Amino acid sequence: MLRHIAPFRLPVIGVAFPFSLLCASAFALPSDQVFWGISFNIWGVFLCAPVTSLCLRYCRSELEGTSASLEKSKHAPSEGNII
Amino acid sequence: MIISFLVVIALSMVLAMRARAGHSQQSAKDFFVAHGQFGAVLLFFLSVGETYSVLTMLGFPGGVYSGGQDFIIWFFGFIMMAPTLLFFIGPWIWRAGRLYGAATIADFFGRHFESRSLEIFVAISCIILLIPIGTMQFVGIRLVLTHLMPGVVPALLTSLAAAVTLAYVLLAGLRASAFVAVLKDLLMLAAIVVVGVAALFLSQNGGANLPPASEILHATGGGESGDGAALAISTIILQAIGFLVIPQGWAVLFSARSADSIRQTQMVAPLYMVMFPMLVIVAQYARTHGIVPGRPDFVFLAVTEALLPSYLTGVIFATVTLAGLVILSGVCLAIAPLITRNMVPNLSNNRQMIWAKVVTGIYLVASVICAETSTRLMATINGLFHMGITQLFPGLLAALFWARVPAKAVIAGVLIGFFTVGGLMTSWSGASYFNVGILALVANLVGLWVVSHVSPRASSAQSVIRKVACNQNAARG
Repeated sequence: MLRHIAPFRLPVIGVAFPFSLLCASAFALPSDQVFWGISFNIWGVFLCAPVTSLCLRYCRSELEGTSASLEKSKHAPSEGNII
Repeated sequence: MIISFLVVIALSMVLAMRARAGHSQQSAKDFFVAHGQFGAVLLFFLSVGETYSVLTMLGFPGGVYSGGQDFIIWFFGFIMMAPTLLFFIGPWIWRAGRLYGAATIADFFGRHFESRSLEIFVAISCIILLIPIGTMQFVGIRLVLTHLMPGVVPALLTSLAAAVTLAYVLLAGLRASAFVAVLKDLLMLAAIVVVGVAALFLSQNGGANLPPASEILHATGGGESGDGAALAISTIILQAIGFLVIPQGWAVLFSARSADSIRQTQMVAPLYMVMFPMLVIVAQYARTHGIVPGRPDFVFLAVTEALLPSYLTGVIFATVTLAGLVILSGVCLAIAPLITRNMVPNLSNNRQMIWAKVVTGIYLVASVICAETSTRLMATINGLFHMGITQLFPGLLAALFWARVPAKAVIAGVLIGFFTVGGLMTSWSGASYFNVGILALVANLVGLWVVSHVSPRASSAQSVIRKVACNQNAARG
């Protein structure tokens, strides 16, 4: 049933890969070496955030156009871009 | 310092009033979920505003100061993983909201499973679990305000904060929350970067003398990285799942203009986490430069006072306060419809709004009183929040995928989950090594499966995904 949410590879890229990267960074990178006062494994954890964003960007590009007809609100206009 | 603080709070009020422009005659749905008109930009700020609270600005550096690596890993980890789940599941929650005309999580459960009992059960569970959040925000706000105005009675200060929150809600409901969240999120990012950069460059050798987090950990007696790996990983999973079912999060999802705007928002959300390295640097600066806060949670503000001029310190104190106020207004707007739409059904549009405002007032007063009297009890309940609220997740899965799961199976699963959490927390020694919420989720799923097999729903029942697909086909003709 997961294929209804997205093709199988997308949750792997968008969820499983960032989570694996997070765990690997947290527990496999050295914690006794430091840069700017922060140990390497914590830097690794922090760097997972932009990588996750990139993964989700890829997933969005793959999902673009799905169910577009149902997704637009009947209530116009959008307020998201007024700021 | 006080003047700059008041200027920022006044600015937030102006924004709340600005949010009302063009919407002076609001319907209940407009008040609670902005009629689903928010595009990606406003949705992003609202989503981030509901995620990063006082806890982020005070609790995270406080935890780093007194805790250590495992704390950084799980705190950062669950906030990073939550958008990945919301990216995929959020659009389906939004579609289900459209399908059922839902404005609350209880609306969704009640209408999908066609069960008034389940609707009330979900509403009551959510209200109980949301109550302590207000108290904890006021505890953080009180910490800031009593330091800013030491001569004033703390209860008066938190009451004033409650009055500001009430004003946001009364002025424009969720729209006011969203507009104030824009100010709060921009100031929050700027404040943390400014204090972090100042700490980095004012420390000798440009920060090279700061110790790694692991040294702080040893110095403060915390566990080593790896010892708490199972607890950290299980907590990340549980709390990321929790983000899928927190009631105020559903209000944010329902306020989206399209499913894709939710995806856009969640795609960008991890980039906002750039603030976390700065918060760690601030905490470490305090340890290495003899800054000893009265309590660990005050470490960020103590460093701010030590490094920045008075007027900037006032702005940062106001930012921390706003972080609490935005969360408070979001929780008020989550609790109020749970009562006025789900607990007391069939209220007219106007009466829903009137009672929502009354409920908001009562909730804020109760939270102020609890912040003064029952902090420990509320902290305990707050600690159970994610473990408790996450028990609605199997029900959400069932609604999305499994057509024949009946309402009673969802109720049975949630009750089994609640009791498993309670039982394991009090009697299992392994609770300090593994998050019991995960085990409760497994027990919940087993209970849901057993009841569904014993007494399945009629074969004509459809899952949310199937219903949306049918609607889509019908729309295409």
